[in-house]
Amino acid sequence: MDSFEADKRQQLDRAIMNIREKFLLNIDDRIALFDDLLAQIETGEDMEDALKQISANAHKISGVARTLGFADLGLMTSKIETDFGKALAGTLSENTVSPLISQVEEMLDHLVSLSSGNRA
Amino acid sequence: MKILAVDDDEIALELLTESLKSIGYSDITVATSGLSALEEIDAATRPFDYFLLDIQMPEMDGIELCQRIRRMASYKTSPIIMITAMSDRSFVDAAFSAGATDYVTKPFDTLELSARVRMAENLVRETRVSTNNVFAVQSLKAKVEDALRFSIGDAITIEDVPGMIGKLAMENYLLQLSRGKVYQSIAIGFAIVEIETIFSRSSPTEMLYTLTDVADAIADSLKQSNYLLTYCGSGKFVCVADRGSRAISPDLEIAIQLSIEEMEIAYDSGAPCEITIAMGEPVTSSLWSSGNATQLMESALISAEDKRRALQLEAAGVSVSKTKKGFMKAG
Repeated sequence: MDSFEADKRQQLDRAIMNIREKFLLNIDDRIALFDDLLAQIETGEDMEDALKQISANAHKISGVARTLGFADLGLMTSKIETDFGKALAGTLSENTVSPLISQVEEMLDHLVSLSSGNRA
Repeated sequence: MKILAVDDDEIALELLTESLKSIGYSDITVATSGLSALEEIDAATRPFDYFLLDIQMPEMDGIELCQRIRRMASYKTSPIIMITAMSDRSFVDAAFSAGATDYVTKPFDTLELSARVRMAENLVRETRVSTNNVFAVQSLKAKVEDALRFSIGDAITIEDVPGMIGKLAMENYLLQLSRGKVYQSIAIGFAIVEIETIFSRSSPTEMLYTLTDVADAIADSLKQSNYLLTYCGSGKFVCVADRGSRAISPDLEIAIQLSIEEMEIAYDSGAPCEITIAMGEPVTSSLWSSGNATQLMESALISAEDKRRALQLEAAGVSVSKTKKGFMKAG
């Protein structure tokens, strides 16, 4: 890699670090959004819409997580998106929705640990 | 190069912008929805050179946005690169069908992004040269004909036919298919018999209309299937469809021929332009095929060429043995 390329790479790495910081700063908003959607599922109020929104938000995170250095989060959100997509294509029942909620809770725990780590 | 990047996620947009900057592109406009992208396009004083569109967006998704951009006269041939997560693969077919030129996957890999964007840049340069040629001579009809002139082998763009995409887009489409998806696909080549004669008797505009009519006839006969169609030059087309499509049958050739005859295609002089279509054997791929997916397309074209030659020899009174019916294997 010549020095020009190396400079560009360093510049990109710095930009990614800044974007990563921004992602971490806003992580509590994402957690709150997922919490609200889980609450919507619990009340049974427009469950399908809540599932779709969870899937769409997981999709957003999975698209950037790995690049920002959060490979595990990328895998979790990608799996949520895939599994939610399959569930939404079929008939929704407690049996199909419960494991999905567990997946989201696990992902939320992960987000919380990232948020705490950022504050520490 | 002026780029419009569209994604509903601001973090993803920032990553994309920074990645583009790192490979030397700085004239980047961003939009966070399909509607605001259309506003940016309307407001642009200088047209965009190409587009990067996220597929999954609320309200207007990237596929609809792609279709709407393609309907604009200035952007009929501009490169449109779709951005997709791996889980969006099911949308990739629809994106190519909507007029996308290529796609890049999220999370971004700067090397892949760079390769895709450079390819788009080359396409922009080629298009710019040919557009400049057209503008330079548009004062006289004859000169426009000159500017439109193309060689018989050129894989020219045929517009406004359902499912029709450019040859490069078709190659990109095939290359991104998983092995399983290639296995589930079928390719069929079509060739216009005596294309040299028709080409030599036609003006460039007439030839373009004739090719568009033939593409329309093929598309019309396939309308109940999921398919993509492309023109490969020399009067040859390739269609890629789902293997189980009911429209893919030996009757397809007859259906296309009937459709062409109903069109009563004629030269500008009024003389009828007799079009006979030669359909090759349907080509499928083995799950264990070692070749790449574009071989499916190549094999379909070879089969169509064989059939065309056989028909031309028959017409010239030379007896030829019939080819074996059934699906050919590519590669």
